[in-house]
Amino acid sequence: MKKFLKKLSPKKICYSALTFILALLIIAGSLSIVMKVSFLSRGFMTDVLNSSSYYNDLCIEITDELTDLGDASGLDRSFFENLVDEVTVRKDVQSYIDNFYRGKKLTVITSNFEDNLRNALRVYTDKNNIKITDEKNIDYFVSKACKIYAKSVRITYLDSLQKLLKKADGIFTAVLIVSVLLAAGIVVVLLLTNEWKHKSLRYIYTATASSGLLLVSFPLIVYISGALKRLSVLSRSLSDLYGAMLKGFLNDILVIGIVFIVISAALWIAHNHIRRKSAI
Amino acid sequence: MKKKTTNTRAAKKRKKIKKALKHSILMPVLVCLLLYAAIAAVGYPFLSDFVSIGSMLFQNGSQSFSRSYENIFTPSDNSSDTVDASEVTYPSINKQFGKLEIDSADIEAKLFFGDGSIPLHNGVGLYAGSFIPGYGKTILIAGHNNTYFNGLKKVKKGDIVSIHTSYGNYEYKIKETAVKKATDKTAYDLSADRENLILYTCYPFDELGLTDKRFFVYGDKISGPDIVGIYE
Repeated sequence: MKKFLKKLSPKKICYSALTFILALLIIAGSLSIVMKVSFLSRGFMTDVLNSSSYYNDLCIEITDELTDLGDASGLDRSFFENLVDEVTVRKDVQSYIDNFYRGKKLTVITSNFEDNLRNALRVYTDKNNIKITDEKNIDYFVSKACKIYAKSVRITYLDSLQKLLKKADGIFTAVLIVSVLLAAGIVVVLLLTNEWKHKSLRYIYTATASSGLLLVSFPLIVYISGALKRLSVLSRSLSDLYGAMLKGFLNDILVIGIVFIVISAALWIAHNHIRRKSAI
Repeated sequence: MKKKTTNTRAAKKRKKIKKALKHSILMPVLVCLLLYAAIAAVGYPFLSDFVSIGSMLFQNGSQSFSRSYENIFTPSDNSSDTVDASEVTYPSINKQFGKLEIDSADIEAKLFFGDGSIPLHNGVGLYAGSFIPGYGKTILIAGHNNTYFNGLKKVKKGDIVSIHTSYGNYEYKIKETAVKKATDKTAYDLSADRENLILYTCYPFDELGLTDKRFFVYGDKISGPDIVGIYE
């Protein structure tokens, strides 16, 4: 310890502090990029929705709930087998997501579903020769079914997150710009103020390698802990969706972490090369 | 002399490797740990609220989305007047714990605890805020009018409703039926101090559509063991 403290000069302490700050800035910038390309990006949400089994699970869940409603409304369970059309669900979910990212009011369009339902009811009553005694009862059933549909299409938590979306986008853009500028400044200071270039590269290597390690280890810790399988969401479709979103977010962090580890490896090679050259 | 030179070279090489390892691996790992500590220390006051909200999104076990259910019902031949509470396995939500029969109305349905989607899809469900048979209070059971409780349209005053559980068999005599609004709170009394059975379903029967009317069947207990020692 004594030996270590003896070796510490004010210059070294200063460089170590700059290295540490550089690592922090790399992490802040990286997380800002990941946030901007994941949770804050409409494309990310659309990709996650398309690549997960969200739509399929959602259709099954809506059908199950409607079947229960049908059990109380004089409808045979077979009536609901092909009623919920995945194309309509996709369209309505996409429109809901569009409204979310455009900052519009989050309402679910149920008109297409209602039309499908009313048509199916007409066919069903004609086919089974059923006489409707009170049209009001049919309207009440249809309105209940539309409520079930709207509730299912609505993505929980999105409505409460909408206000934060625009704020967060601005904050992460600012963090990204500030991080990049400050990090570039520190790199320039390290390179220009150190007479031994290989030592400057070693400090930058330490910053990139340590931030790379953090960015790689964090998603790995989450994966190993199995947290993604323990999501407390009551519906399978939402659990799949949130799981896929978190997975996409963590994978992005992992990729950036790997990029920084590769950069640090290149810096280490350059550092060794310059050191050997300067030794000669 | 030659050996000494070799030893010095080896020592120099070892020192070099040690230094390289220190700078290439040890330092980044150390800084990484410091970064974790710094983020935790600095971020805690700002992020603690988000972390506590986030932790609510996770649970201890993995989530099950299965529509299947557990059956804890095994037919009982208990013919005594009482059953000790310690011998009764209390059901939890969505578990089948009995069977309900009304011979005069051709009703035979699995009896579940809870009246959510799984119970009503597979049988009839006891409202979790009411009481299990033998408890001496109100038993409120729901079923769909298009499936398991369609036969309620045939019940008459004096008909017998049988409920079979793993701890005893119960019979209730129907004293009246009534059509009431779903929002009518006078349709049931969950605080009644006598064992009474209420069955209900949507109304009207065999008609397309939904209304806010419900068909209620009221019955009183005529046989079955009372659960004793509940509050001991």
